[in-house]
Amino acid sequence: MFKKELKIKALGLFIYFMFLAQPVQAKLPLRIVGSSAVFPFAATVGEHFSHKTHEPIPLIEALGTGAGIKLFCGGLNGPDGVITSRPFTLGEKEKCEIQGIKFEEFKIGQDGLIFVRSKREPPFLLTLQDLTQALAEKIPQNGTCIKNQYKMWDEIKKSFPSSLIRILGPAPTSGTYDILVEKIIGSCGPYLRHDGAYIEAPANENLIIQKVLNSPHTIGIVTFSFYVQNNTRLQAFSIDGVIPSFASIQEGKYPLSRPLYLYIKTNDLIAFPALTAYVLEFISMDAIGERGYLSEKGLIPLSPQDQEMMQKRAQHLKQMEAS
Amino acid sequence: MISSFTKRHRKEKWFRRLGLASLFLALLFLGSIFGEIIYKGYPAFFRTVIARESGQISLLNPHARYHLSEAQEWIIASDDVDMYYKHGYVGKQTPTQIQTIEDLKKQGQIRLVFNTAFFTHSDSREPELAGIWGALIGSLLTLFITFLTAFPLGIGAALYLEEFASKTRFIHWIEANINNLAAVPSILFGLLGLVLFIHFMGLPRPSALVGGLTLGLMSLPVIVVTTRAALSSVPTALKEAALGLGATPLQVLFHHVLPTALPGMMTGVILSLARALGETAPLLMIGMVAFIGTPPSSFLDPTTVLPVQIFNWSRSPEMGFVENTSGAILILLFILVLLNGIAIFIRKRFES
Repeated sequence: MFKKELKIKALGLFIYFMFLAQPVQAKLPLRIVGSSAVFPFAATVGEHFSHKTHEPIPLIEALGTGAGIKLFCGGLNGPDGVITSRPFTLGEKEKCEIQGIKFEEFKIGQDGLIFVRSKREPPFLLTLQDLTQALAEKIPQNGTCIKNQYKMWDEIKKSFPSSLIRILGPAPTSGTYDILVEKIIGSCGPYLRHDGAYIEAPANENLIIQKVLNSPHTIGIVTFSFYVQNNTRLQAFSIDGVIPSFASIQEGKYPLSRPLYLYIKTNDLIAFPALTAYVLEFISMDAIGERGYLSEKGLIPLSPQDQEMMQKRAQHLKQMEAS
Repeated sequence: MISSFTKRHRKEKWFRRLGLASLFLALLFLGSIFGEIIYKGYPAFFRTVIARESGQISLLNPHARYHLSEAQEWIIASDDVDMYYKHGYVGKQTPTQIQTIEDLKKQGQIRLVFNTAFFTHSDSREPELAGIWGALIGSLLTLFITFLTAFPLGIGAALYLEEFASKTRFIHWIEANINNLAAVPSILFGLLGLVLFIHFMGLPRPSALVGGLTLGLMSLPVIVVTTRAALSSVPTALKEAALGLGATPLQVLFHHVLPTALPGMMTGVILSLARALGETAPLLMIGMVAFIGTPPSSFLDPTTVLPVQIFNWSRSPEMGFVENTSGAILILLFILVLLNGIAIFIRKRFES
């Protein structure tokens, strides 16, 4: 008899947990999805936002830029915002509009793709053209496209060391790969090599850094935030004579840089004041200013003009919310 | 004749040596893995703190400014300071900052303490503030749902198949399928969970309910197989004796078969739950990879689990997360060892 009672109690407790606990629960957190390159920044802002406003910490999912936009534009009850490492394409904008989703774009900063290798090995000067020769599947020669045959660096240029070309970088599913292809692959098709000179690493930049440190003559491609966190062990290659740094990427001098974006849904801002507050925190000087907590994490701040424009856009959101 | 004798014995000697060598090789692998994890992970259990009276706000963790009004004597330092104090990594700190840390050292205003935050905090983007509490609660809630779905269904199915089902073709077909399912890669159960629970039933996405149900589906075939093995190891003589004394098949089952098979069944259940606890792949499929900074308070709340948090930390750029990752792995291993220990204890207890 006693045992039976205990069982009924346990069952009751379970049902309580599942259903009764729901209404008691506080406000639902904001949901942001998208690029894994922006994810660390969005989550950091989320924590500061929660400390300042006492709202719950937003839920942030790193699904990749493409998948994030697909979810965001998939329906009105999708995520509240999407973080991307490229602007929306026309097709994506159209898809959002068909679903009746209104959105606002915020540029939040810059990121750079950095070619790194271990501090123990001497650097050499790379140009974008050298990288095309080293990375593209097909390269132009005498007006036609031929398969890339370069095995050693000194086959590309006499001054380069005579070591095997071995470059570790992102896989084709990531936004970083898209940028790489866009910036360095020439007229002969949008593919990187598959013959072992370019090695696709899964979306784990720590793994790339480990490999670069442990195996000689290996070059890795990482995002700027990873380079900043590991710059005691890694050295960056200059590209076209420009050394990657906060200043050179911000000014647009470093050739392998890209802007990062936050898009938010503006359909029901009045019901979700937290969303506006989150955006305001994201583009505040405290976050993306020159000495903000995001630049500590490796986000490259916007130029002052861009920053002013974003501030204005956010103030406009606030007015929309008030009206 | 003699040469054949020595040959055969030499063969045996070699076989033994080979066996011993493979054992040592396996131990060496295991040892080096554990060694590395422990070596990398143990610093995670200690944290650098700075005395409040030193007034060095720039060396404190980035969230310290929200808590400055609270009366705390020692405040957690930023991850850069932590890395320098523990390992001597300079990182992106300026020489003046390094000098300040050296000065604090001389004045005794900086020291290492046991890292309670690692156990009481939830996930954070700041390695010095991140902890496993939220993930641990998430793992418990998820495992509870897994247990509730897999245990009754698995045991019930196994009992029926082993004791009551007539051996028809259909039953054989089902048996073969269950055995195959037990060997299916776990990520496929993630796909099944994605389609069934999220797309079809529309349950909330990164929740303990969906995670638990998916892991439940994954553990189900394993529980059925182990339970059936335990049931079939019950001596037929025992059952026939009970039947001969006039017991009904149901009585035989509950009075004799189940108590005898229980240790084997429990071991199977606990081991499959331990596997579910350490599982990441299917949970990645159903979107439990989110950054969640607060522990879940119900089964429908956004939830993350321990292995997924380890996965997330291992992808983070900050150096501090390297030791956090290994630290969390140590905790997960400890829990798994504990569960296996319980399984062994139960088996020994009921067997005697």
